[in-house]
Amino acid sequence: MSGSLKNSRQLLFSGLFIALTTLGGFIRIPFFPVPLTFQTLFVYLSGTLLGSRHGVLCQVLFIILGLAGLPLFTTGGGLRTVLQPTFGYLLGFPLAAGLIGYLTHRSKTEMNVRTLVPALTMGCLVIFTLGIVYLAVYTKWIVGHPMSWINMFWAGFIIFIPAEILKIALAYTLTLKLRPLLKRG
Amino acid sequence: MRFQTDLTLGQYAPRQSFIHLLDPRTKMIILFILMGSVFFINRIECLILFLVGIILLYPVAHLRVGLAWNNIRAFFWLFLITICLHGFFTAGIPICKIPFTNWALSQEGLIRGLFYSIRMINFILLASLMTLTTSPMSLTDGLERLLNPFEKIGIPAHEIAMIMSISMRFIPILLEETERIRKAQVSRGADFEGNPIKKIQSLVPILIPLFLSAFRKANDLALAMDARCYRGGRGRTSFQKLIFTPRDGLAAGCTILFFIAILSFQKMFV
Repeated sequence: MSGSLKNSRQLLFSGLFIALTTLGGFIRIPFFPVPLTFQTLFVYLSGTLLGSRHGVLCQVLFIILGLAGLPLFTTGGGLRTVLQPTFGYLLGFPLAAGLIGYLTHRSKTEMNVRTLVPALTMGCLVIFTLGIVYLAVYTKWIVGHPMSWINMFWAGFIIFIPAEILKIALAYTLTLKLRPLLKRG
Repeated sequence: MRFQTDLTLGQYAPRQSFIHLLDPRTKMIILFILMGSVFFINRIECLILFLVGIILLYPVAHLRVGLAWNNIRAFFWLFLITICLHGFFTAGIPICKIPFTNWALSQEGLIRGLFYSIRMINFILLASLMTLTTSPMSLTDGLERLLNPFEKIGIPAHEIAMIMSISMRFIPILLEETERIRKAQVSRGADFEGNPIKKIQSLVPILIPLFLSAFRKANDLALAMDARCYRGGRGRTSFQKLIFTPRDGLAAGCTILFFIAILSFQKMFV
């Protein structure tokens, strides 16, 4: 494959993953205790399938496009999204995609449960850490009334664990199925 | 699945106003200055003055003031929580007590709650004004130009603009494709009902064909771009050139004056 074709493919796949992450927000399944959306599934997949550089790039651009006014986020779009208490999770997307991409692409060995599951779990933790940190900053500086860390941990992380476990399992299955197809071109 | 039909417009309201005609780069810089300046204001009176200033910009942009209200309304619950949290948990002169409890709404808390709520309203209205008066395409265009000088330190400005345009094309295509695949699977007897676990499992027969079709489309487009000698950003020119005009200078001047006026007004209270 020529260098320019490879470059074009990388650009297109990054654009594609922005579209897929958006689509993930619109797939909604009622789940306990909060409804399940699939945005983070596509964040995980952008890391495992695109690698760290393009994973980060596409997730950063997803946020920029959403902030520019396109209705890409589950809460709509526009700069006012910054004022949503959940904006921190979005900020975690590029970091998670980058970390997953780095952990899964650093060696040429085949991807398996030992490399994928820890990488996906760490990516998930990055998203939730950013989410909780933003919530802390938000409650302190924007609402002006800080919340206790235990409450934030409960409301911002614990209730999402069952759904995230399922998404990690799905991301693992899809990565194993899709990676050979992506390599084949 | 609910989605806005004309995705490329987003929240943009096309008009021919002074603010609409400003260079997107000017608008971005002004927005960040104004947003930053909201944090410098520590008097509720100045925040209200700031708010009046922003609301006045809506008619200047040929937008209904009602649009400002629509944007604030979505955050109503947040203001309510903020006011209640401050009102009930800040010590001060009680104005009203909740019967059968020890809770009382304090005057100081109420003012503090209002201060933080008005600060949020200022942010929301500024952000909304930006997205209402600038199309996502010109915002991304402006961003590419602002990032151009940073290409030397490895920020891929052209790639960024290219990926953004590609994704805007892909989003409606993928949404249609998902719906088509879902209908095709239903016609083959797929069952998307049942408990949440079954629903998640039933997503795999949608996601795999969706990925396959999306990969195929991306590969075809990559070949088409290669066949047309696409070689990245070097030497490429733009159809729509962004040029700073005296209008941009006037807007920047007004912003600085507004900022100075607010700060002077704040000093009057010290």
